[in-house]
Amino acid sequence: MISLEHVDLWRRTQEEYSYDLKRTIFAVAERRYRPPTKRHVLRDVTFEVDRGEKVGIIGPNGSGKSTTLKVIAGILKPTSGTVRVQGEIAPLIELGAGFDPDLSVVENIAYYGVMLGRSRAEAKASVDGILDFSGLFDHANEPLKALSSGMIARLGFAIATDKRPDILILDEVLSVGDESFRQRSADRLRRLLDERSTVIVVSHDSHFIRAMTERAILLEEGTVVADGPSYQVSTLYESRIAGKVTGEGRTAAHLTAEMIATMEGRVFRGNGTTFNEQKIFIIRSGRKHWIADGGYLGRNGIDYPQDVTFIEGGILEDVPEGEMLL
Amino acid sequence: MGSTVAVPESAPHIEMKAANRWMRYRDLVVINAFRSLKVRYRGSILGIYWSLSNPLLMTLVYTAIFGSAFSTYYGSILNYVLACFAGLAFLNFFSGSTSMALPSIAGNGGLLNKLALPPSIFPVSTIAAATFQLFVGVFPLLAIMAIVTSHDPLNAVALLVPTLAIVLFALGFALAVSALYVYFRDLSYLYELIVFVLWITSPIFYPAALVPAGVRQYLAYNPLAAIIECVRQIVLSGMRPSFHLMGVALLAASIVLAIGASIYASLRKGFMDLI
Repeated sequence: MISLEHVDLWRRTQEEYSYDLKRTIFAVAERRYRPPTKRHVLRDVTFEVDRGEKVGIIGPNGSGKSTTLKVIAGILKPTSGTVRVQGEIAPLIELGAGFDPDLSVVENIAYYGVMLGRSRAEAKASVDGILDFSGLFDHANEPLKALSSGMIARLGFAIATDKRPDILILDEVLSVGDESFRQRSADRLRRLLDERSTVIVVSHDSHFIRAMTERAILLEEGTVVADGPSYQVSTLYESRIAGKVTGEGRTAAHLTAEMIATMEGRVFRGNGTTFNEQKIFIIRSGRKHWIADGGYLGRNGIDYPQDVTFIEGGILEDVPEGEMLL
Repeated sequence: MGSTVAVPESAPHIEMKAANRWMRYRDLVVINAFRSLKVRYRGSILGIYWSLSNPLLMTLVYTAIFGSAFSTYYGSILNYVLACFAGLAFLNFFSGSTSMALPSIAGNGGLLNKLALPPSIFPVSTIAAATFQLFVGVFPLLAIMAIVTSHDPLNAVALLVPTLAIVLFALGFALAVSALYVYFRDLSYLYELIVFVLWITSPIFYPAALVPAGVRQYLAYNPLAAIIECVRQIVLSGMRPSFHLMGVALLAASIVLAIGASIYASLRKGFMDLI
């Protein structure tokens, strides 16, 4: 359904963004013009996604997650390699991007629908259903700028998900509108997830990936590092982040040991989790995740509370912000 | 961490069939053109005729200042007024539509980064909206003038030729400048100058005979002048439409369109890194 084969992408770097003619002419005249530098954004990315699969793409900022989505959606063309996509893609773009504030709600529905890939007739025919779902019948002929931002977000969601697409692309978590609309949009999303639609989700939040998908692909610096069951891949991602944060030759476990020695947080009970045949423990501090090997603590003679055991990596949702957990 | 290797039974290309692609392109151009017309003329049916006010007012000003001085070249003040109006109407279409097309690709960068759209729909739909206005506003006026002077409906029909030429000409410019603007965001200052040069070198409010012969030979290379000359011949001369002038106008416009389209095509690859 979706296949990427040896996809490489080079892009001009950010510093080259603001180009102007005057400066370019002066630069050429003074012989200090240099051609724009390029950055290797995707390196030999190869994977396939089958019909109906729910796949998460995970990785740190700037690892090429969103770029990969753009390549799949046909927004960016790879420098080399092939991309094949079978079926209609519905990108759930930032809700409301592409609306015209001066057009009425009905006109926006027709306009946005066509921009998303429907024919004019289809877009017109969808107006009533979308007004109904978003609860905006009373505002149908008002200009969009008269609506609240919540209403606009509702409208965006209703249009984007009105027709069940073959492939749904999500680049952010949805939380829009009031409670009842949130409920309805969650229902609709779940239905899209349950049905035969292929779903690709991008996130740097490993919990979200675990909750939404069965399979995950880990990207780092534009390369596929891991591709497999989302539980394993997201755990690997967490451990790699922890490894990177420590830096300077110190391992995650070192740092964890230091943290435990100095911290004054609450301690939760748990049993750890197995990764690569090794028992690991996940600690969350604020928004960061740490990974530790319990045996390491003992080996390094770290003094930690005797009654501490560790909670399993997967159940960290209800952690209050800023609190340190084991 | 094994990768999933499940090969789909068939994986046809992402490309649509040519016919579907064309229909999609047309739909996109139509809704974007509609959108800009609706936004501009919201709440007034007469709004579309507002586009006439600019050439009418400018004709008034030129006539007040140059009318009596140049009327001998044109036969009468009335002829000067008509020649001036016909020229200004076309020129106004060109400068208005292309300067709106100039920032249209860069300005829609947000959308282009979220949806797979052909970027050219933005300059093309700008020209389409302006063309619609031209046909509703200026064209009927000029067609009536053509019938009154020539007593021949053929002249009104022939007026379609230079109109088509100015549309193709503007389209070529729109494609080129909207693509260049993605790379050079200070292009609008230079473009104002280019439009001014085209404008002053097209004999619109002055008789071409005033220009020294040495300079005049170069004015012949201004395609806009050729198109305006063709309009005037059809609308004002009272004679049958000149095939020669129509041919020159269409040819000049087609060349400009071909150049504009190839500039666009060669710059297109780099767009997405810059917007």
